[in-house]
Amino acid sequence: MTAELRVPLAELEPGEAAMVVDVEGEGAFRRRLLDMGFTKGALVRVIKLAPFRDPIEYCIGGTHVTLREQEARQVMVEQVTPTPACRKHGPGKRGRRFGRGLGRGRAWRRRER
Amino acid sequence: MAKKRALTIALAGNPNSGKTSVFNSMTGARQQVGNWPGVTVEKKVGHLTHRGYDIEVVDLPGTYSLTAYSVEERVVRSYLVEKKPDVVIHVVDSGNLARNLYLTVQLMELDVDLVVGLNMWDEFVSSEAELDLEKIHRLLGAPVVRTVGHRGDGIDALLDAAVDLVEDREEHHRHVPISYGPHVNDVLVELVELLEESEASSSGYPLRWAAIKMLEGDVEILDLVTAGLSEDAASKLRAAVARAIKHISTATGADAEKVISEGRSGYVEGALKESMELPRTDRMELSRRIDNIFTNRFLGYPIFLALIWILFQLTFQLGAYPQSWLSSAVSWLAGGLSTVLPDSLLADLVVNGVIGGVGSVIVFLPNIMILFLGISFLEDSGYMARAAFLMDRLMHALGLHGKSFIPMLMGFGCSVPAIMATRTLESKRDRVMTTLLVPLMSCSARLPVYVLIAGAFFAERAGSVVFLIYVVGIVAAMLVGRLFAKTLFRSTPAPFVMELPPYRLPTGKGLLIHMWERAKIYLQKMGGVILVASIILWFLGAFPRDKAMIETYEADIASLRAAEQVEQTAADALETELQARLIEDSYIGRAGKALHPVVKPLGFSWEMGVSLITGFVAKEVVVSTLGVLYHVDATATNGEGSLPAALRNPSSGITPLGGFAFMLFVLLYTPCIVAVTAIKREVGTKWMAFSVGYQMVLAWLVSFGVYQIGTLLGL
Repeated sequence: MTAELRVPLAELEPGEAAMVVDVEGEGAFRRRLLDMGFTKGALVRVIKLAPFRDPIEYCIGGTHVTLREQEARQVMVEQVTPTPACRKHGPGKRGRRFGRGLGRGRAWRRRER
Repeated sequence: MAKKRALTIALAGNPNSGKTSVFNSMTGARQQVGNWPGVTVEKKVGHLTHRGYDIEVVDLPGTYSLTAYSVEERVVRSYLVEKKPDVVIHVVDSGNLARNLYLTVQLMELDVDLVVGLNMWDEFVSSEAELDLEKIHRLLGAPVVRTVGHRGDGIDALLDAAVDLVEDREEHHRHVPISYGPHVNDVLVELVELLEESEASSSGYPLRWAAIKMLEGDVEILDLVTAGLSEDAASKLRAAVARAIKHISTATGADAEKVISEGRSGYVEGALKESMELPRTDRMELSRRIDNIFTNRFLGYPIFLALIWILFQLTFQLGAYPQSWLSSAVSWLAGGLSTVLPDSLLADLVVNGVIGGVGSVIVFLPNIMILFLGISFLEDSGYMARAAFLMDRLMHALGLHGKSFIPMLMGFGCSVPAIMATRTLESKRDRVMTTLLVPLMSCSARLPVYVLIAGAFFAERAGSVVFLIYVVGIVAAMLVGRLFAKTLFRSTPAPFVMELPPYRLPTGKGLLIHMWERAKIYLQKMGGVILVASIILWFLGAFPRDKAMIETYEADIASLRAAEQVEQTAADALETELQARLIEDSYIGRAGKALHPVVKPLGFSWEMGVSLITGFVAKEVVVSTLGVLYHVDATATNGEGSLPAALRNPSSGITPLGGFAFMLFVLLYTPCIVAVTAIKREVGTKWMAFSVGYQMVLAWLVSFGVYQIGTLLGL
C-alpha cells in the first residue's frame, strides 16, 4: 500500500469501501470520529449520498453514521480490493461477509465452512 | 418492618442503546425531570424499591465516550466520580457491541462498580449471532445481564445483579487494566508514579484514568490535577505530560490521543473476537429497505414534507379543538367569577390577572403535548435522524443542523412548542442558534395583526402583503443565521457525525411518558414564571388608577343609561372612552407614550407603541389594544366605527407605509412572554436576554429602514 492510494473518504462513491488510515483535523471533531470507530485499520463503506450529495451515509463497525462532505474530506482512507461488505469488526476476520450478497447465493456461508 | 436501605444506581449508555426504555421500565412514570446543575442538559431521576432497597435511578445523558469535548460527557464523568453512585449500569445495544463496549471500557477504567445490561437482546438473538456470556463477563470484569428494555424483560435480573454487586462487591469487582501497547503503558506507569509522589489530588478520579486523560490532551483533567499543586510541582507535571505525549508520538508515529483511542477499540475488538460469533444476518437489512424509500433521491423530500405537514396539522389544527375548549373553560370561569365577585380591583386582578394568566399558560398545552407525541414518534422510530440527513444541506447553509428544520417549521404555528422542540438537537451550539432563529418564523398569533393592518391599508392586495411578511421572516432568519454562524458561533463548529439507528416501532408507553414529561416541564417549570409575569403585566396595565376620573365617568354613564333609549349609544361611547383613558393613564400607556419618539421614525402612532408593549403578553393582544385606544370595537371588521376604518382615517396619523413598517416590527420584535420563558428554560438567562435584545434591535432597524427609505421614495 503506497501513499498514492491515500484519498479522502469524501471521494468514494456509494458501494465503495476503504480502510481508514488517518483522521485529520483536531479537537472535538476528530475525537468524535475516533470514538465513533474511525480508527486506523477500520473498514468504512459508503452507503448513500443525501440528495445534494451532502451529507453522506457510511457504515463503519456495523453502525451507520453520517458525515458532512467537508468532514469526510478529513478522513484519509486507502481503497481496498475487492470491496468488502459492511461488517461489524475491523480487518480481523478476512473474507467473512456481512449480510447476504445479492445474487451470490449462499456462497459466503459455504466459504465459512 | 426494617428500614429500607438506600441505593443509587446510575444508567449510562450510548445514544440509541435503548437506555431510556430500560429507565422507563425500571421506574415507570415515577420520574422527575430537571437539569444538571449549571448546564441545560436534562437530568432524569426515578425511584423504585427492589429486594428491600430504596433505589434511586439516575439516567445519565447518552454518550459515546467520556471526553471533555461535550457537555454531556463532562456531566457523566463528573457525576460518576463526584457523586459516586453505588452501581453503574451500562446499557448497551447488543446488536452493536463494538461501538457500545468502547464506552464500557472507559467506565471500567473509571473504577466504578459496573453491571452491563445487554439490551435489545431479542434483536441480537434474531440476528443469529452468538455471544459467550461467561467469557464476556470475565473479559469485562463486570456481570452481564440480557435485557429487552421496551418489554421490561431482564430488568429485575439487572437490578438483582446491581444489588448483588453492592452486597458482596469484593468478590465480583475485578479491575481489568487495558493495555495500550508498550509505548503508552511505560509512560502511563511513570505518570501514575509521578502523580502519587506529588500527592496530586485528582478529586476522586482514579490516578491511572487521570493519567490516560492527560495523555489524551484532556485540559479539564490536567487543570483539575494541577490545581492543588504548588506552582513548581504543577509545571513539573505539565512538562512530564508534554514529554510523555511527545514520546508516544515519536515512538508510534501517531499522536497520543489516536493511539489511546485505537487501544480501546483494539481491546473491544479482541474481547469480541474471543466471545462472539458474528451475526449471520444484517440487522440493518430491513432498515436499508425502508431507507431506500424514505431517503430516496426523489421520494425522500415529498415523504418528509408530507410527514411534517401531518405533524404540523395535528399540532395546530387538531390541537385547536382542545385549545378552544380550554379557553372557553377559562372565559367561562372568568365570566362566572366576575358576576359572583363584587366589582372591585381585587375582582379585576383575579379575573384578568390570575385567570387570564393561567389561561395564557394552558392554551399552549394541547399543542405541546401533540407536538411532542409526534416528535417522540419520529425520534424513537429512527426517522428523525433520516430527516436530519435529508435536510442538513439546506439547514447547514443557514448555519444550522438538519434537525433544526422541525423546530423552525413549528415556529410558524407557535414559538413555544417550537423552542421546546430544540431539545432534539444534540449540540448546545445548534440548540442556541435554533432557539434564536425560531421566533423569526412568524407564529400564528401574529396573523391577526397582519390581517388587521393589511386589510386596513392594502385592501385588495392584503393576501400578497401578508405573504410578503412571512417571506421577510424567513429571509431574516437566513441572514441572521449566517451572521451568527460567522460571528458568535464561529469558534465552535459542531461536527455532524450522527448515527443512523435501525428503524424500530416505538412503544406506546415510551411515547406517553415522553409526552407527559414535556407537559410537566411546561406546567411546572414555566407555568409559574408565566403566571407571575402575566400578573405583573396586568398590574402595569391597570395602575395607576385615577379614582376621581373613573367615578365621574361612571356617574355620567349611569345617568345616561337611566335616561331614554337614545342615550344608550352615548353611554357606550363614554364607556369605550373610559377604557381608553384607563390604558392611556396606566404605566404601560405612559411608557408607550414616553417611547413614542423612539417609534415615531418608524411611522408609528403612540397608540401603536402602547399596543406593542401589551403585545408582549401575547401578540394578538396588539389588535385588542389598538381597538381600545382608537375607541372602536375591535371585533367589527368593516365599515364606520371599525378598527380598520379608524386606522385608515387620516387623523390616526398612520400611512400605509407606516402600517407596513408596523407589520414588520410585529414580525421581528421580541416574542411573547411565554416564548421568552421557553427560551430561558431551554438555553438559559444569558441567551434569553440576547434573544430579546437582538430582536428588538433588528425589528427597529428593519422598520426604520423601510419607513425612511419608503418615505424618501415618496411611497
